[in-house]
Amino acid sequence: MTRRGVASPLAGFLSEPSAAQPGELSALPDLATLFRGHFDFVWRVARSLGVPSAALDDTVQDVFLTVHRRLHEFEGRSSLQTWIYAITYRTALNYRRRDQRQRCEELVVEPEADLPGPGERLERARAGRFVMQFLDGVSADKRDVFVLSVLEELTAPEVAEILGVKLNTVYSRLRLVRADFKLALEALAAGEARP
Amino acid sequence: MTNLEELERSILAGARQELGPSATDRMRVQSGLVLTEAWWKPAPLRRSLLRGVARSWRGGVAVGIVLGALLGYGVGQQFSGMRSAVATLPASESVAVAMPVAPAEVAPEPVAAAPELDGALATTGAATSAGLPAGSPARASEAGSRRAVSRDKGSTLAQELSLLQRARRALNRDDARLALGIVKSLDERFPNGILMEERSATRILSLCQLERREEARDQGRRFLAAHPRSVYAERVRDSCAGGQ
Repeated sequence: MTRRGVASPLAGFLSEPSAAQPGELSALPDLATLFRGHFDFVWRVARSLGVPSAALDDTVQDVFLTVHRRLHEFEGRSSLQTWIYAITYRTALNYRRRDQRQRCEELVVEPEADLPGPGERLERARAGRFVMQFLDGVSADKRDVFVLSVLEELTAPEVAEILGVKLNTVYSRLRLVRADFKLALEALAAGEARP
Repeated sequence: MTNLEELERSILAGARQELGPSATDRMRVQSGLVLTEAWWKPAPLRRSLLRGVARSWRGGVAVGIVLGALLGYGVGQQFSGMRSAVATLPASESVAVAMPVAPAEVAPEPVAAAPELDGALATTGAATSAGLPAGSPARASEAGSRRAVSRDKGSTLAQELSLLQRARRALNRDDARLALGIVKSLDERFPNGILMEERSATRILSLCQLERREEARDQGRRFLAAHPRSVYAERVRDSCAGGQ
């Protein structure tokens, strides 16, 4: 799509991304392609890591602008996704430090075009609230490991690389936070917690 | 699988969906990014590949040969009094075309093009190039002027972008009056701007924020008729201009 001979900013967004193979002489993805491919998880990670709703838009935009600005530094030692996770983590951390008042009541339910049924929607909202309440109750170290390892299902070495800690530290924190989560689930199952 | 494991699985799956962005979130963040210069920048080349080419001895030899040929050709042209033709070296042209991104960074800057010819070419456009032989000074000047025109366009676009960004920031701060003022300034400075969709959407949202609903609805109708598939269409429909 062009307008007056100038490429539209949406052109890259609407067209399929070019799949660059390792070793192939090609360009790195542009911002539109990055956004389309990674927006969902960047948003989810930023939100789970405790960035307040009011700052989410700015955080996510900052992540993509940083990724785009530093893309030429990406050397392919980790996957692009892990590298973006790391940038998301650091950006979210900055916002979290700025505003420590992240609370689960900030979970704003917004209308979506593809709404599931009311029952499913309710279950999702309860699950989201439960996890956010749980994350608000654990230390920042445990929270980071839980979000990356359990929610995002990254491997322990990837989590260690993103957080900049030793692999054993990740395992240790993961064991602890999993135990906490199990307790919370037991409480939920026993009807003690009302998400 | 125990009940607890099942509960954990279902809670985590639900939370992943719930914590993800909605369509509105996506639209909002994308709208912000579209107004940044980075959105318009071409993708950078893979640095590792360039380094790989530089490290490989074959790559080094190949680069040396090409550079040597270019240099030799350039010096030859200069000695024969055709200095300006350097800008139109076939090899340099092909480098610029072969690179899928950022040709402006790769292609050499043209050597002094005649100003009076530049002016003429800027108004007559590509049609003038048809009869000119490759490597002639006139064609070199044309190449230079095309790049100059392109730079001018880029500079105008940057200014337009910058103003739009300011309008968006004002809108985000609930300062619709300022946002609308900036949009009006854009209308005056860039009546035929490139980012008209973005400008119109900003105007409509500003009018809504100022509760000037009639004007917003009128502008919204026109916007949706002109750009039904715009990335901003949903946002305009969701606003007071959507005719709810």
